Amino acid sequence: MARVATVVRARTLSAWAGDLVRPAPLIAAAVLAVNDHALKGAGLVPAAITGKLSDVAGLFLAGVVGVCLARGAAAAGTGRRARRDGPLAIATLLAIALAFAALKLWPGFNRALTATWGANTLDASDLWCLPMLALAWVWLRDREAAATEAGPPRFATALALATTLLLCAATPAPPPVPPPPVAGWYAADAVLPVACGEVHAWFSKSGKTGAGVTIGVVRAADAPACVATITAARLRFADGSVDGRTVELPAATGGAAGPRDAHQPAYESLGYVGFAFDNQARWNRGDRNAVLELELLVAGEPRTWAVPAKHAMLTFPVGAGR
Amino acid sequence: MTRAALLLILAVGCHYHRDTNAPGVTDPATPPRDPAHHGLEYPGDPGERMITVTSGVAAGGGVGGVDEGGFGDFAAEATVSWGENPTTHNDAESRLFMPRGVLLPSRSWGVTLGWSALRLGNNAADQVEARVGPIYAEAQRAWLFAGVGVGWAFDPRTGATGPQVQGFYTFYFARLRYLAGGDGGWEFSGGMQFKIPTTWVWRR
Repeated sequence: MARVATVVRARTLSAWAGDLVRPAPLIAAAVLAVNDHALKGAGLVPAAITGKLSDVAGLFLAGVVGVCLARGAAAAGTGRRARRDGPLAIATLLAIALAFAALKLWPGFNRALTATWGANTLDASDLWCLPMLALAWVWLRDREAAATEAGPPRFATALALATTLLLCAATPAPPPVPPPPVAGWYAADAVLPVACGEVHAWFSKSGKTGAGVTIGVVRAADAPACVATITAARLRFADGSVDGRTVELPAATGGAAGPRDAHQPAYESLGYVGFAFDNQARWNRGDRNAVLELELLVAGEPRTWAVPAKHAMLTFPVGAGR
Repeated sequence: MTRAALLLILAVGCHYHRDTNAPGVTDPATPPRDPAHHGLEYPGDPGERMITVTSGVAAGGGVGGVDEGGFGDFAAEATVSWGENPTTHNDAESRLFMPRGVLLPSRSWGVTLGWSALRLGNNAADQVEARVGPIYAEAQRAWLFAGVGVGWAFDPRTGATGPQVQGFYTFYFARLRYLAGGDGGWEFSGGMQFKIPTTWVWRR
């Protein structure tokens, strides 16, 4: 009779998951939730701290949750209550440590998990958080010594279990999904050296009804000023050409534009020219090459510039990281 | 021949991209939203068109027709449909519960050919008898997982012929037909269908 009562007690939710209704795992869960979903990327706390905080809190919580689940499974299988600090707990904590190390060190495993679960950085320095699993074991050992037969209420245990499982599974937002590839014109490395600096040209628009080209002027460090304007533009195909039409840029963007990222230079001046033509028909009949002919006035000096252009399926973002 | 059959089997459940109409929607007369961004602005989405060949089997049962005591029905069906999606699908996106290769139009028109190749019913001696059932052709209108079809059926065993309508939602279908001539009459059947689409997709 006493054996039956022990089996029933071991299998109750409170017997194996009751540890989750304790301040330490609840605080770890709260830290994980706030850090992942509020602090990361908010600029309130340095990224170096938010990056590690989730690993610190998450590993402690994962250790406690993992041991709770393992004890629950053992109770369901054998009907007996496993110790919180016994061989089962140690094996569970070691398995979590191995999985975490693989996630942080093994690119293939990291890619697979990132694809199915969410973004996770491949960073060997995160391994210094592994001692949190040892801390979880110490905490579980203390719980084993102090635990009484009477567990917390079943509802509170279920709520804590559901919340912690959800928090362990809910990672920060996955990385943005790139849009589908699309056909577009591009001119690779179109840079024209001029006396006062460089003129860069790139296709900034391309679609069914035409394309558009932007030029940006990068002033040399010793030049007092460097401004270029487009006086004429043509897009020459094998079977003819299309004249471009310059478009005035909004005042806010037509002048100097600071660097957008570490790889993009600051432009002294910008210009835009649009080419209206049946680009879809050209694409469908296989027109993949053209020459972009620009006539420029750079610091008062006329220049002509021919840039080879290609029409291809492009994966976005195009031009990022230049 | 074996290789062709194998390739056909491997092709089922996949979708294939064509480059036709690949440029997006843009207005070259207006400058890009961020003129200082050194790169191509992602154009507007024209949506996509697709041809889908869906083939598979349907199994169920029904009442009416020559088998007044009810019948079991096993059919093979193939549908060729032409459809559109207002937005282009993205292979990089995760589509919950949908295999990555499966691509269906949000609305489509199609033609279905089917044959209730095996029909089980009781004969006069109350013994189960296997027979062949009607061959049918339908025009189909579908919205992603659901659709309706209207067509004509012909029973090669009895020579009976007549109209039929069919509705389906995911794996489930219901069919009503009236066969005139022979031992025909009203017939209602329903069951489950397992059809796998193969799609060829391009931009609008």
